[in-house]
Amino acid sequence: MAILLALTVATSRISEERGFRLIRFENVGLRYDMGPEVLRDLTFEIRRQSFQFLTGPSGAGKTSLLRMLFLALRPTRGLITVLGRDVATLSRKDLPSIRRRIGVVFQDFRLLDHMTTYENVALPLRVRGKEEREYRQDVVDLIKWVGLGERMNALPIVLSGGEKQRAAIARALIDQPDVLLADEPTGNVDAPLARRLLRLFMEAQPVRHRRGHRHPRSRPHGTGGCAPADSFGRTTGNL
Amino acid sequence: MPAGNVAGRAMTTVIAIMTFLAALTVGAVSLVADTAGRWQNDISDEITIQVKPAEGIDMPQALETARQIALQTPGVQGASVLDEAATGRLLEPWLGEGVDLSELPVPRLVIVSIDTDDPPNFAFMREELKAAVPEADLDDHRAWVSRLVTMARTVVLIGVFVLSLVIVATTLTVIFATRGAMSGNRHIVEVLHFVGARSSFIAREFERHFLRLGLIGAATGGLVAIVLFALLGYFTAANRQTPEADQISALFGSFTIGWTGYAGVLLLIATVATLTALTSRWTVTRHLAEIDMISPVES
Repeated sequence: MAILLALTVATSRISEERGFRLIRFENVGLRYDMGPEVLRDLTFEIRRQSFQFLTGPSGAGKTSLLRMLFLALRPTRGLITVLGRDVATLSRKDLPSIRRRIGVVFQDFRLLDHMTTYENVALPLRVRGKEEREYRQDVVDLIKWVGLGERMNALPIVLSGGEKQRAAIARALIDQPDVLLADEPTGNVDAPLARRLLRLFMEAQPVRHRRGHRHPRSRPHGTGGCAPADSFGRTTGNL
Repeated sequence: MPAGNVAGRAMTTVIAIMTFLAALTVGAVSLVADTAGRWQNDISDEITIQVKPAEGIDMPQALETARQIALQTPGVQGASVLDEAATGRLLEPWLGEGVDLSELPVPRLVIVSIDTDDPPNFAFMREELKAAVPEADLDDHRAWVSRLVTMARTVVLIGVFVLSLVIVATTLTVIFATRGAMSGNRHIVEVLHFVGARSSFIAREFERHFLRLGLIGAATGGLVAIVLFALLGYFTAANRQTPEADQISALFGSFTIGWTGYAGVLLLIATVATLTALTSRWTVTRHLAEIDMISPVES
């Protein structure tokens, strides 16, 4: 059983007029080359402050769906609206600004091996051109929050699978994204760690939603009041 | 960017080797072109009178007569007899050291410098010489010059052709080596891309990194070639008095490549480094276009 977890975090940047919808799929279909449709008639929406799981057997198209969500793949038909923008009308130069509002935790972590935990987590801020003195404390706080305070200067090669996963989560969260997408976030870890990671996602949402608190360092683990997780079964269409 | 990985080091090494070879070619072509020009100039402002040995000839007297006739001819700027020591050194590769030239029927030479703008009348000079010294022959080198200039130009043309091939090979090698090194960095491009870096930022970061690697490789290869040329120039200058060095000097002068050669090598270093940087930019841009909102049909 594979799990795709799509966690959405709302901020004031999303207009209330759009009905709290961060992402909307309408009759979306996807096919590779001339093959059969791997995704057919997908219609769903992800509202802010919602917590979504997507499950399905291997090869069902979960990763393809995720790639469409973080704008790496265009659908062959249908309408996708991400953060209020119709992706069909997005030009190449629009993509980075939208991607900066979407945090992604990849299945294989994709940490850069030549960078320390601190540098990996700070990477999204660095590529935005921010000065280190502006973000240093935030990065340190977030790394401590995900439980990697002792591994701040470690390279990914010496981190365990769970530690890499937490570093990847911290990197996805560091710039307060509107949407957090995680591809099989518990796929490579044992059950206790999987529960801990899920708790981490749950804690991330309400705390980050509070204004004036950039990072949830004041909250002890496991005490977060998360929004109820909506089942992805609300989606219509076939995976 | 990672400080250095195997692909990066291999690329730097390949760039260093190719730049070294290209710099050697640049230096060699520059040397041949300079030497060809020097041959032409040296020979065209110099003629020789050869006095052949004959029964009962007073060689010193005959040489002096020939020298005087030359000096009296309009258009001649100077004339000197190639003394026995110089003649002996000229013949040393064939006859060995310490040969007594007076005992051998060896022709002797009078070197005549002429005004290239107002050259003497060679036919008149030849007749005057024949009348005074029947054993004297005037060699104005014109046939030589013509053949030598043709040969030199051919050699330079061949050199330029070889240089073009080496530059094309260097360009292709640098492009493929850079692309090879880049393929090991695709994951970095993807991560930067998906954390929201703009294409221009990613391209600039890679361009800067590969410009540095290209500069290190090209400068290493180019500087080794420059040092090699400097050493060759030093050793030929230091051993100028030996017969072997005389032969080399006769062919290549002081074996220095001149400022055009050094400038060519520096230009080569800059070109190779720039090429490396641009190739990395093209590769990153193309890779980003591949992963950026691709249609599954296009992919």
